Amino acid sequence: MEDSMVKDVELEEEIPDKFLCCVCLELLYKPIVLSCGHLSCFWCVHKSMNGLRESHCPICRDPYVHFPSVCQKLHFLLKKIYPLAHKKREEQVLKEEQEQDCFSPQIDVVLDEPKAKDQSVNVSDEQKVEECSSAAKLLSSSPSRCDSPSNEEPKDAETLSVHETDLPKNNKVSKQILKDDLLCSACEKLLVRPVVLNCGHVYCEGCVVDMADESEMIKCQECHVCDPRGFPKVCLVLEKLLEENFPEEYNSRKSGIQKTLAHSSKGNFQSYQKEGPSLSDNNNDLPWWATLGSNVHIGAGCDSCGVYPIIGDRYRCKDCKEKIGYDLCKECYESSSKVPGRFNQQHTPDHKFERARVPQLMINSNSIGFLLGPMVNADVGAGSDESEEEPTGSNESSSNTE
Amino acid sequence: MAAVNGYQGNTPADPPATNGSKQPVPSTKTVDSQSVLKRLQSELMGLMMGGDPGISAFPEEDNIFCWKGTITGSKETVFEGTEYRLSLSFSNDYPFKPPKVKFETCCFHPNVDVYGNICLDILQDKWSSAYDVRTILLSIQSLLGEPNISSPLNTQAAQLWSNQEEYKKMVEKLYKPLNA
Repeated sequence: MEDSMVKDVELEEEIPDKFLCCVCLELLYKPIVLSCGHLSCFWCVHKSMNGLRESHCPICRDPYVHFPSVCQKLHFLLKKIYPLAHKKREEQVLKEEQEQDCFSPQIDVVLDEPKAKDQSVNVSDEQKVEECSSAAKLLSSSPSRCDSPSNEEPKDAETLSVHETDLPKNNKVSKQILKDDLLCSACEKLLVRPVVLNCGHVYCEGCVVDMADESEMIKCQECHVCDPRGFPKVCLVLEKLLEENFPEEYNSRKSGIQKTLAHSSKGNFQSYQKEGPSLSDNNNDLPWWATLGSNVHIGAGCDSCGVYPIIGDRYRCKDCKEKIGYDLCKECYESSSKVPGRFNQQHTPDHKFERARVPQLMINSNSIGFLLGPMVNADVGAGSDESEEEPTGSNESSSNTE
Repeated sequence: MAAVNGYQGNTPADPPATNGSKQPVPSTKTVDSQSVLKRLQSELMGLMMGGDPGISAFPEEDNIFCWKGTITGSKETVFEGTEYRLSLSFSNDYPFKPPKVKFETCCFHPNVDVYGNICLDILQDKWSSAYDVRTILLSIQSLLGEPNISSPLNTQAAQLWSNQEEYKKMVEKLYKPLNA
């Protein structure tokens, strides 16, 4: 029954392949850009990640361990260009989230600043309203209309869908991409060779090179959070978008930047450490999963830096009520991180933490299933061309530990 | 944050949710199958529009989670002129877990056993959620001509592979045409 609707939307807004998520094959929704520059939807990235060890980019297999934040610039851009398809996705994802009782982050301009609001219990609804109003601000379309819901308390999902339905129509006038949508927050000019940091903020590659300090850490100028990963690669989807929409300016910016880079002493950023095994702490020369047995928190990630799974000490918020929970890794706990959750947790700095124990899964009955799972699978593939690869190896290392 | 639905990314095995109370209970099969359904529909559309030579696939009549695919042996391989039917069955975790793929037609190949099980890394630990039916079938098609001899499921086939002439005879002898 809904199929005809989908087709209508797609007919009206033809979405180019580059904006289709490689995992769900639909319009990117709350896109996340990995350090290799490839992107997919928030949930598609999260569900593709490996709760046991490092994850790999679905497209290029680049290993990574940090779950990045949503790239809001791209999110709002897609919302602007494809309002109908975007709205469809929004409804669809919200429905899934409601049924799972796990929500993606509220996309919200306030997110970048110290959190102003703290009450909000009724997250899912409120979140939508905020998104609505913030989107409206960004899109500069009849602000009075969409700002109003934030004053009144939304009663249920229907109320807000009423507000939201107004959005697409309003936006039809301002569908084209403006230069203002694609500015680097450092140099405030048109982005050139855009890279997306772990926090989801977008900069020119050259600006990020300048932002890196002596220890080669990149500190985001917008949210002042350090990117725990290596130097991210250019996001080619964004670059293509820039090239298509601002061909002349982009090319002149690009050639200009390349010249500057050649003269820059930091020009050798290509050789920056790549994210992956070597980056994780306290495991010397061993691959990071080889030592994981004793203290890997399977399926639990840090809500500040996004490392997933957490290895080593894990601190769990005692006051966050959301099903997804709020956790910090040791580094982020000690740096007293003030970052809101990776999902929609209403975490505030006055919440208390407790140190979470590594689940005793290696000795309880569940663990047998867990340990056997991969092995059974390895048997099926006995003599396979990949049998020497990590699954068996990491099993052995985890079984040694208790 | 915790894993949702106990997904373990590209891990092929199915470890039970082990994270105590923190991990949401995977009680949402209906939601999942909705998104799997959408994805499979998109794939079907793409396959019908794409028209890759030598491969095809279509869902079974009443179940979009079970597909039948066909591949033809590539030119200049011992499998030239043969055609094979495969079954693909998708779980609610697709595309985060690979589908189960089997040969339904007997296939004399070092990496295919007598039951039609296939040993191919991308269907196991090298699975990526960006793979789809099309890439699976293309991979199996190229596996036909480029077997992995070092770790065979069918040792007889692996031993014979070096003698391509004899191998081809064997393929022809064991081959049962699809419409026969």
